[in-house]
Amino acid sequence: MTPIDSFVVVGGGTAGWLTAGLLAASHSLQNENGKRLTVTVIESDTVHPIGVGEGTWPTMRSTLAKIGIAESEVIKHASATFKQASKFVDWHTHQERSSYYHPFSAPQGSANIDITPYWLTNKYEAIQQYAQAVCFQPTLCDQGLAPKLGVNAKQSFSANYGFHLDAGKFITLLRNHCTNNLGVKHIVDDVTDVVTSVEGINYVTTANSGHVYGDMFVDCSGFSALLIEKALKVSMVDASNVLFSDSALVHQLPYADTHQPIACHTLSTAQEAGWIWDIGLQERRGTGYVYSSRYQSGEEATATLSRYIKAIDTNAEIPESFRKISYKTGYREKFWEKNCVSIGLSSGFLEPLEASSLMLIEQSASQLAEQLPACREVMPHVAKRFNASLTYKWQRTIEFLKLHYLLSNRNEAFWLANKAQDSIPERLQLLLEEWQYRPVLDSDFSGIDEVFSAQSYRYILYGMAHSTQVSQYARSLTKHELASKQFQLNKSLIMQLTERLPSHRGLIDTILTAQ
Amino acid sequence: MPTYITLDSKAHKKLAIRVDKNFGHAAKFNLVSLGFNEIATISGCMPVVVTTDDTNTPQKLAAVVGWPEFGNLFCSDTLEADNLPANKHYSDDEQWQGHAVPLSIQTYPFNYAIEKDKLTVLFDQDSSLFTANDSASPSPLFASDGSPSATLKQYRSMLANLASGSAQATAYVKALLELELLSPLSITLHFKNGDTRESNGLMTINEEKLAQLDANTIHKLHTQGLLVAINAMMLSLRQYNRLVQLTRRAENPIVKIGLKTANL
Ligand SMILES: Cc1cc2nc3c(=O)[nH]c(=O)nc-3n(C[C@H](O)[C@H](O)[C@H](O)COP(=O)(O)OP(=O)(O)OC[C@H]3O[C@@H](n4cnc5c(N)ncnc54)[C@H](O)[C@@H]3O)c2cc1C
Repeated sequence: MTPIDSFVVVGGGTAGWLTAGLLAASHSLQNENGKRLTVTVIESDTVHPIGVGEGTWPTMRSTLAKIGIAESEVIKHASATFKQASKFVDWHTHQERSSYYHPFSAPQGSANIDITPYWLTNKYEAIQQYAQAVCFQPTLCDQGLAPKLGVNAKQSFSANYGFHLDAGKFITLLRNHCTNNLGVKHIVDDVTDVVTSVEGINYVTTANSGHVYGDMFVDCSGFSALLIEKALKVSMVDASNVLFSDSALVHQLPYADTHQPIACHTLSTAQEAGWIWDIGLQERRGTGYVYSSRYQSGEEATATLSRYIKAIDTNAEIPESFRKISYKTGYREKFWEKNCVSIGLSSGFLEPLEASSLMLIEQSASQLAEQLPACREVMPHVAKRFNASLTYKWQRTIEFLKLHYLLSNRNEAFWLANKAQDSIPERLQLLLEEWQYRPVLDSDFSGIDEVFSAQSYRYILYGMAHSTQVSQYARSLTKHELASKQFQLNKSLIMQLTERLPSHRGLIDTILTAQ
Repeated sequence: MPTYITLDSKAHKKLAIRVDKNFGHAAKFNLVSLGFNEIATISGCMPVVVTTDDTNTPQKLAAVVGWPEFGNLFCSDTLEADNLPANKHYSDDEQWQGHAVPLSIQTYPFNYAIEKDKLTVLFDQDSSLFTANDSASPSPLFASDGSPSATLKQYRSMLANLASGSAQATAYVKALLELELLSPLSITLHFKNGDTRESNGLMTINEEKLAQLDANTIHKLHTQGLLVAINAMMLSLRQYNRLVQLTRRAENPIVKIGLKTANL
């Protein structure tokens, strides 16, 4: 047997350091021969990390716990704040449906009953929007309240949450932790050549540090995809026929008042040819316009983002031109080829509408760390499973993102084109047809590789006011009493929580001042 | 008497509060007024009574927490309350000696005023609990964005309970008086050194009168939720034994107590 004892991670962006951290932390002991797993990160100091990617999923909490970084560290050192939901604004032009939430917390009573179909009958809470009727979290977001009472929320109530964070500071935090506490080796140098054989990658050559050998390589080199594409020639599966955006204009906006309230959700506001993200960190907002250059010129897009920023702060300084990132939407035909795994932007890119990139990085790296092949001989088996699993995840993510566009009644060309039949993946199309007559069922998304649960679909579908004729399905709705109790419980929970929870800024203050 | 002023998110933005788990400010209290909504929890810990008629103050629902000889028996340091440093910190065994604390004690140094159904938070500006620079991590009342902190929100909701509880207590006492269900309670304290003292001035439920009520009235009391409170008040008299126990730390503790309800 040829044992796997060393990993070389090429790239020191969020993907590289998260992967190195997960690998090192989950294989921290020595084997029976006294050998340790070595993890080396090579990062260039001339090519910088992309510097965006500031919204995470709640999964980031368990990822950081695995790596050994406390929540308070992320708040203190990565300017992080809490994210409880995404709020979609103007995805409809109807005034009364001008916004809706996709919260991270599940609907009331979901361990025992799905109250969605009861809400769909219009007999309950018909005036209220779906997310507000079934979940307390949108109200917390509306009022700028924190997801929990204090630092030690373990004893008391805590809503589900992820983070908003400063990408650059987050990388520094990860890097310091990995090198200081997890024994990850760090080489700051440019990779200039990748030397391959039939087995895969033999070694990489660096400008000043010689050859770097490893049993396995992880390509975290970002869009340049040095290993997976340039060396191993694995191509991309294009998905731009489903998701149309190909450009992002990025801008960081300092708060007018450094103590102003911080939004506890990602704001995503639809525009003529895409949407603008707006993420509240401790000292600034991160904003950006994700759009399709087929439907809007760079100049017009710049005007769109400028207008948005001016509406927030009339005194904001608008740069002559925004930083622009262009990208191709799609994913690798194979994520794991021979002895190389690609994670992060090198593995593909989907617009950041639901912050799926970091989540897919976490999932890929966790899966790699968990299923780590003991030796070369079994590597193809693990690779095969990994590829199947990741392909499934990427495809489902594409469908879920597409869902956001399908029920809009906006009439600009970009939005109309998004509804064209041939741009909708078949699986999603069929489900949508079924959902005209029945609610989204848990069993619609029950695979082990599911990334978005039925619940997320419900929040989007019914948030976008999809009409469902439950007249047939009504035959199975036998638990009206239990359902009505859940709606009631949700209301009283909202009352209790709003009376108790501090503001989002208040919780951040508390964490920053705690010893 | 504390001087209460209105709490203002701008003027008092920097105010922080220290939590005193011993509630030392109440060290000399003997009687504490009680809300109707507190009867259930407090009656398992302290005697719940009604104060006697006095031309100056109306009769009130109250909890007995001590006697003049001892001060408030639930405060750990009662016995030498006079010479306590203002910002003494307490270890766990120096905390409040009961599982329940009356709201009016818990809410100190805050108080409330009600204007047009709106509750305004007041605070005792002389209280030593407001020590912005105290080393024992004081909790701020406001976040840097000016919003109320979780701590202040907690006080605010206790004050709201206190307000509604005290309005209900007034109605409850009125109902007890109308039905003539109250009779004087007379207490004899026997001290270790042989002294005895009579303590009067409190009223409790007259069990005989209660037994004589007709079925309709009983049913009405039951549906109004008053019957449970009446029973809890009667049972709470057992807690006098607990007070006696708490005097053990004193030099001249009470060794025996006699309760007599003068049934009219
Ligand atoms: C506009 C936009 C918005 C986004 N928003 C979100 C979001 O809200 N949520 C989310 O989850 N994700 C988001 N993402 C995705 C997220 O930014 C990335 O998934 C994440 O930052 C990971 O990037 P990476 O580490 O793969 O690549 P990069 O950050 O590009 O890092 C590449 C690394 O490779 C190194 N490197 C490159 N070439 C060489 C070389 N020759 N030699 C040595 N080292 C080299 C670089 O030095 C760098 O360290 C967004 C992406 C974009 C474009």
